[in-house]
Amino acid sequence: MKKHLYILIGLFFLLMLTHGMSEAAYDCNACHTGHAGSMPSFHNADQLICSKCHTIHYSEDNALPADAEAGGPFSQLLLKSSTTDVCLICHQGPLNSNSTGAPRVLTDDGSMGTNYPSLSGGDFYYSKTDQRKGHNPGGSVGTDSILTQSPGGTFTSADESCVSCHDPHGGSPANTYRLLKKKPAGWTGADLIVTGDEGHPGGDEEADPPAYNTGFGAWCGACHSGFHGSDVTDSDVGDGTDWIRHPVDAPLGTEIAGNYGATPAWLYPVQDVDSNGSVSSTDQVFCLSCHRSHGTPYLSGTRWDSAQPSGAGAGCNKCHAKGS
Amino acid sequence: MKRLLLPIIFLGLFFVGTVPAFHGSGLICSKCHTMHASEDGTLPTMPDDPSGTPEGPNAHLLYKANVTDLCLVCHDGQTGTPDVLGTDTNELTERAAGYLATVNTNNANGHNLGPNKIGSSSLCTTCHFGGAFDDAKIGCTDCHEPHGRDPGSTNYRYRNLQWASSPGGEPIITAHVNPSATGVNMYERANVGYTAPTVQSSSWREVTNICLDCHHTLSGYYYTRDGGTSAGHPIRHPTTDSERGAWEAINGHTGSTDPSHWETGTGIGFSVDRLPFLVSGAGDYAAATTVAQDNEVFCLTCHKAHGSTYNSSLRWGYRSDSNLGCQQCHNKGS
Repeated sequence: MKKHLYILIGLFFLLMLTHGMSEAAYDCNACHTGHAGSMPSFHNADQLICSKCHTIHYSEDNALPADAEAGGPFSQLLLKSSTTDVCLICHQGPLNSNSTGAPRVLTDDGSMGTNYPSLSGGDFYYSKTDQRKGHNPGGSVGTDSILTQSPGGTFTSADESCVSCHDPHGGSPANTYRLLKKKPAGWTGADLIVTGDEGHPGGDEEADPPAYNTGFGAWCGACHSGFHGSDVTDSDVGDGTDWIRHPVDAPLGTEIAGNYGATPAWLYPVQDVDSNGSVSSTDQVFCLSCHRSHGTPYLSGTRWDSAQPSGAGAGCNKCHAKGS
Repeated sequence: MKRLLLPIIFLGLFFVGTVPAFHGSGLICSKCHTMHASEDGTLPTMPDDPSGTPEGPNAHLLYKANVTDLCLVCHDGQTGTPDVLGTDTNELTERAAGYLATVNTNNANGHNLGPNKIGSSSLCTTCHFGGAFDDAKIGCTDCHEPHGRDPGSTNYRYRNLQWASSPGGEPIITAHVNPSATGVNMYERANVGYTAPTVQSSSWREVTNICLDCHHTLSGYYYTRDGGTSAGHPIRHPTTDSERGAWEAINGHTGSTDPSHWETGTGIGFSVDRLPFLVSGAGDYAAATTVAQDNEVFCLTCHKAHGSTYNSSLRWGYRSDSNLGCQQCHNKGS
């Protein structure tokens, strides 16, 4: 009995000794396994610096740790009360001036502009200034006061945060693409796998656009299931003859693929299911064909102003070629 | 620099007044369609019908289940938009196509307006195979292509007309609008001139080619001439039907008509406005409104496309005042 007590006391002092070290020097992953990811950046096992987001005792030099919000300590040992605001420590700021290399998702002025030279996910600046123009992940971006649940689904809007969609630790719970969770918020079904090429996150979208290959529409459907479904199994969308909502993950078909024209594909992407880098009849329209995931200058985070005349080059006519 | 100035001025003049048509390059998809039938978490109302009852989700992602109801949100009682139902809120002197009556009623004075049939088998059975003509109803998009094209574009059809039986399969349909008319005045009867292709030409078709898609037994020599050829005596009133090779000029029936009376335009019959006519080969409004003895008769000479004050959508009271319209060409009994 005494032997076991000595061992426990020894482990306790060992733990105190290691946690008494500078947080940056921790090898947290020695204990907290399962965060290994393949994303070659900050969010994986080799690169994770736990203290960038967490504070073990909410105390450093007997004061608030750097970047920590007053009023803590906070759940999950986070530096801030809002998970989203923790993310924004690195991911908020002017475009192209980020010494850490973390892709910006919230600029100070919507400087991504309407032509989207970068930020394929869009800019939370717009949903921060008008909540109807994108997702509302809480924190300093704000929560949704209009929608209590995800449109087409039942996910509680107030619970939305960056980690509803992204796994901050990467690794096996996440897809390699942008660390999207395989089980995004509220999803209890089989893993939702997306495949694609990230392009250059936070970089020039036109010069190095992401490629969306498979699974993205179904992934969004975890929260927005009523807007998603195959053309046969989901009566909320339609049967392919008489659509009652816009199809998602449906093949473009020959006519629409032919309409697609010369407008750059990165502006109105399709799921390039055959991974051939060009738009073909088997490729699919999906959520991101019309929306950006974070926010845009337009209602519902659409890629263009759908309340204005479509005209040549506007979004709907990219596929539908009406009025000319 | 000066060499650049002239072309710039020219281009500027060209684009002055070039307003994209709403049903054309000015389309706003979200005026009629809702992508997910969800807005702010609820079923949305149509933008131009904010007090309307939300419906759906509906076929074709439309705000309303009945396409005709959807069209009428803008085309009934909205100033500045062609008003096709009942009293004209725009107060035009005379709408070129006349006016329709209440939806889902039988209108003895025009087309019966109801749900559109296009794209469904009920288009044929509206009249055939058990359908009853008196009760037959058509919707706006049976005859008009809602997405349209701008006037002047390659495949523009006058008033965005289309074949109900084969949308998009129709030929180029042409008529000419007074170039000085703008806005809803383009729908004023006096501002429209009608043209047919020259004999045996198929470069375009007259507007009534659309009518014949359903009323096909009322035109062409086969149905209107004894023996089914141009040599036969008329057994139904002649009407130009260029698709089926029938060109029916007023002076082509001198045994029955008085072409000079028509050309003069005074006297018996002309107490009503001169009836519309076709001018074969007319390439513009001026040519299409030039009166001559070889002007041609067509469906719209006597009928309005939507409806009128008179039975069968006629332009005058055929049963009570038969000597009016008919006499403009025939000049009988005087």
